[in-house]
Amino acid sequence: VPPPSKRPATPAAWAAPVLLLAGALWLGAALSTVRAGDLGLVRAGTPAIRGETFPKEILDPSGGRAVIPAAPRRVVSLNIGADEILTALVEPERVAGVSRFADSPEMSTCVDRVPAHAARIRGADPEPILALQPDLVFAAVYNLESGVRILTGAGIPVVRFGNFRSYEDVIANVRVAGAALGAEARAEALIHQMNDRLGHIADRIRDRKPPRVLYYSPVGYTSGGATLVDEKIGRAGGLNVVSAEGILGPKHLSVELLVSLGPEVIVVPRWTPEHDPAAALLAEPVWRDTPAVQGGRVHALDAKWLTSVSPDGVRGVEELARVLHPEAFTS
Amino acid sequence: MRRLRAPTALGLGLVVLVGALAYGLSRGAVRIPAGDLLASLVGLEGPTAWQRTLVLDVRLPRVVAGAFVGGGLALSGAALQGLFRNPLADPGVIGVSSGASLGAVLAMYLGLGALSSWSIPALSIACAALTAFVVYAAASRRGRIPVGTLLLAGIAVGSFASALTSFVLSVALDEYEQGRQTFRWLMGGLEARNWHEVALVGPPTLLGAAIVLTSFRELDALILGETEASAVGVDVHRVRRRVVLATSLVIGSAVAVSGVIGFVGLVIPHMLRLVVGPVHAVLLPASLIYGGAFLVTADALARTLLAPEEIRLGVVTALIGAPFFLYLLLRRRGEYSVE
Repeated sequence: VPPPSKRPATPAAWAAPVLLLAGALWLGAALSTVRAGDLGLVRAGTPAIRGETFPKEILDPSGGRAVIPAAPRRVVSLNIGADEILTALVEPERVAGVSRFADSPEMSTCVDRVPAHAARIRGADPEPILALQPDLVFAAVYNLESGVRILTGAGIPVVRFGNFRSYEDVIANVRVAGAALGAEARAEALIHQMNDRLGHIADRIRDRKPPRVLYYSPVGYTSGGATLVDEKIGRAGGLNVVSAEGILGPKHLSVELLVSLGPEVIVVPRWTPEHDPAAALLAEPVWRDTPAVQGGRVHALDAKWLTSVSPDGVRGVEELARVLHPEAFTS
Repeated sequence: MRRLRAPTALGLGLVVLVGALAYGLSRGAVRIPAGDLLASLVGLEGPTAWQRTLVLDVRLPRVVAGAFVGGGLALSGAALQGLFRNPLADPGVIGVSSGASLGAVLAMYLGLGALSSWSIPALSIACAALTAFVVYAAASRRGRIPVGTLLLAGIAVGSFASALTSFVLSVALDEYEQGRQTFRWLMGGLEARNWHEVALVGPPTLLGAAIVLTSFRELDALILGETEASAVGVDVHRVRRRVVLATSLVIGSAVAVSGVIGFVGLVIPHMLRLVVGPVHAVLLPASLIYGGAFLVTADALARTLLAPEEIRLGVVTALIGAPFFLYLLLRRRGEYSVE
C-alpha cells in the first residue's frame, strides 16, 4: 500500500472536481424543474371531460390537463375494466389496443367484442403503446404511474379512471369514456340498459328477507363496505356480513373471524372452470358448522361477472340474486 | 491475472459504458432501425414523432438512470469495502439498502411525495446514513471490523429496517391504491423510468461520488487498519463520517429511484480489484464506470430475454452476480481479502 499524500495526480483526483461541478450545476437545474408529485402517488378520482364538442379537455384529479382535438380514431385501453367499456362504446375499427387479459375467458367479459386487429398490451409498457400512435388512452390509477406519465409527456391524451367502488362510479366512468370518445348517446344507452336490468332484479327480490352473505375468494380475500362487490351483494338482495361489521374495502381477514360472522350463504369466485373452489372450501373442516355449509348454500360463481367494474358486471348481480333468492326466479 | 494500467482500464471502461448504453438503447419491445435511432439522438429529420419520443423519452432516460444507479452502487460498494476493511461490505449485505428503502416507503406512505418529489430520495438518503452509522458502531471493535460481526450487525439492522418497511406496507395496504403503488416500487427495477427520475438520481450520485473520490488516499491507508492509518496522519473519524455520508447520498438516491438491486456493489469492485488492483485512486472511478455499464446491460437483458415479459432487474443482477462471485471465491480460496 502506498503511503498517503505521496502520490501523483490520479484518475480519482481529477475526476472528483469534475463530478462535483457537474453534480452541483445539475442539482441546481433539477431543483427548479422537478415539480411536486412528479415521483409522487396519483390521486384516485374520476377525471372530468370539459366541452360539448371536440376539441375537449381532460381534467385529471391529480391536476393534469390534456386536449382531445377530435373524435379519437385509435384508442388504446390498458386494463380489463376499460377494455369492457371501450369495446361496448365504439366500433371495432377504432380500438387500436387492449390489455392482454381482454382475451382471457376467465377474466374478461368482452372476449367476443375485442377486435382481432387490436394490439394486446402488457401493463403500461410505453414502447408498444407509443408505436401504436394512439389518439386516446384509457388507463387506471393502478396502471404503472411512470409509464402513464411517459404517455402524457408525449402529448397523448390519457383518461385515468380512479374509482370503481359503486354503481355510481361505474356510471360516472361510462359517461366520462363516452364523452372522451364522442359516444355520449351510446354511453347513455348502455347505462339505461344496465339500470333496467338492475331494476328488474330489484323488483324480483322486493320484500324478501336478505340472507347473510359472505364473499370469500380462495386466496383469503373478502370484500367489505365501499366496494363494488358489496354493492352487488346488496342489489342482489343479500346482507354482506363483512360490511355489516363496519369493515371497509377489499380485505384479507382471518378465517376465524369470517366463520364467527355466521354466513348463511357463502359465494366463492371461480377463476378457472377446472377448479371448483366451493368443493375446496367444503373440504376444510373450519367451515363445517357455518349455517351456509349446514344448509348446503356454498356457491361458486364465475369471478369475471362478480368482479367486473363495467356495466357487463350486472350479470354478476343477476347470478347472485338467483342463488340468494332462488324462489324468486322459479317462474 | 495481468493488471491493466489505469488509463487503459478507464479508457476501456468508457468504451464499454458507451457500448452498453448503445445496446440498451437498441433493445426494446419495438424494433427501431439503427438509422432512425441515431437520427433521433442527434435530432436529424427522418424518424417519426413517436419513434423520437420512444428513443428520447423512454429508452434514453432508462439507460441513463441505469448507468447512474449501477455506477453509484458499485462505487459505494468499493468505498464501503475499503472503509470497513471487509470484502463483504455491500450496500445490500450490510443493511444500508434496507434502510434506504424504509426511508422511501415512509416518504410514500406519509404522502410526502405529493408535497415534494425530493422528499423520497431525501428520506431514503437519511435512513441509509442512519443504518450505516448504526452498523458501523455495532460492528467496530478496537479499530477492527471482523467479517462475522459486520455480517451479523448488518443482518440485525437490515432485518429491523425490513420489518419496519413491512409494517408500513401492511398499514399502507389499507389504502389499497397507495399500498399497491408502494409495493410495486419496492419490487425494484428500472421499468418506465423517465427524466424526472434521472434528475433525482443524477445530481446526488455525482456529488456523492465526488466526495468519495476525494477520500481515495485515506481509504488506501485504512486498508492497514484504523490505528495504522491514524499513525500516518489520517483523521479516521472524519474519513468515516465523510465516506458513510457520501455513500449514503449515492445509495439513498439510487434506491429511491430503482428500489433495492443487489450484487452490483459486491461483484463489480471485486472483479475490478483483479484487473486494476486495490489502489482506490483507480478502483473508485473504475467501479463508477463499469458498474454503470453492468447495470445498463443487465437491464437490457432483463427486458429482452423473455420478451414481452420483463424479468425483475434484481433477479438478473443476482443470477449473473452470485455465480461469478462464487467463482472468484473458489479461485482465490483462502487468500481472498480487500488488500
